[in-house]
Amino acid sequence: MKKILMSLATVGALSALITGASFALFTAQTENQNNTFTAGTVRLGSVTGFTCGVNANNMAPGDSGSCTVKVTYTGSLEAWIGVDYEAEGDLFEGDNPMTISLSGGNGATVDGIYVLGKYSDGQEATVTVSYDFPAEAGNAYQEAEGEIELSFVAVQARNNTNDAGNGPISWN
Amino acid sequence: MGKKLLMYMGSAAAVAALSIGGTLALFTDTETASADFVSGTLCLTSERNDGDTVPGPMFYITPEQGKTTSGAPGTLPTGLWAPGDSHTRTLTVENPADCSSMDAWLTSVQARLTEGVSDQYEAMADVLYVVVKTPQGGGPDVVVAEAPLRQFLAGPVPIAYSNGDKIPVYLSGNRHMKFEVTFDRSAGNEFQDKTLVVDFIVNAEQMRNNP
Repeated sequence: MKKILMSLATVGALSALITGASFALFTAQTENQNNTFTAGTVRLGSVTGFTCGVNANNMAPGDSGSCTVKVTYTGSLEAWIGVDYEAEGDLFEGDNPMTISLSGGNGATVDGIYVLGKYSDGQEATVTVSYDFPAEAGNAYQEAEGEIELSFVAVQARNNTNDAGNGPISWN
Repeated sequence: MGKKLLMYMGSAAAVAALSIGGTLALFTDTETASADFVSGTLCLTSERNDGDTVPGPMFYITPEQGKTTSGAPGTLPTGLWAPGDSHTRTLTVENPADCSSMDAWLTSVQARLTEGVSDQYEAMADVLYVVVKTPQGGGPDVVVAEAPLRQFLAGPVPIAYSNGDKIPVYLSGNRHMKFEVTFDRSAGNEFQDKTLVVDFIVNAEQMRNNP
């Protein structure tokens, strides 16, 4: 009889565990509310300018000049702004092509992109595009056309500034 | 003759005594004993604790967002987050004797989306990585939990020392817990200008009978 009772008790205890009976310990919790995480922005605004010299539509060998282009930065995070260009057309081909150079930045180039500098919301970045049509060009370039396309890029400066402090570690 | 007669006489005397109202006047006494059983209580409180005004959230963007209930602005705003940013804030968890009566183990940390915020961007929980630290013994802070915020939102994330020991907070004592949050450097542009607002919750259990 005693053995039967013990067995029943054991079975009962096991059943309680199996059916999910739990240790009902005292518990408590505390909260810290309203923790806000908001990401900033990196935004380029409008591009203005890109007006080149009066001879831009009537280039002759020996002409040189410059174009000024501005871009406004509108992001909330400080950012590096860089510019790259692509020159297409016969004016940029051949033995004596028109050459292009950029100025207005801090002199650094990162991954082939010319660094204009570090900018905050509302500031304006300016790049000057200088062109030079060699006097040696010759008749092969008559009526030749060319187009320069500038591409501006902005990237966060925080956590992304190179050791020299003159540009980003990377543009993306 | 003698024995029967004596028994008879004894019985008669007893009956006579009862019938005339005589009582058995034995000496007696009683005492009672009682024991009261009152279950204890376990409660926790907490405050941000980095020299900032209190009470208020640990993480906030502007002083205005971090203001206390009395209107004092927060003094340690994180500013807007950029990928790669990391900020650490301290939450001091207390086990106060004015509402608690027992030692406790801190068992887990969880988070939930703060109610009433209309522009929650939950995907941010995947790119915000949370590390929880607290001192072990008298030593420096050690990591007791780490996971993406998403995991803390999904439910309690257990906290314990690396050797498996539980984390005590004794009655009338407190424990500093550091929350280090890092915004994944590779988060990407989709998170620009997005916001996530959460409540952090620290859970505890009684220490006694709970090794």
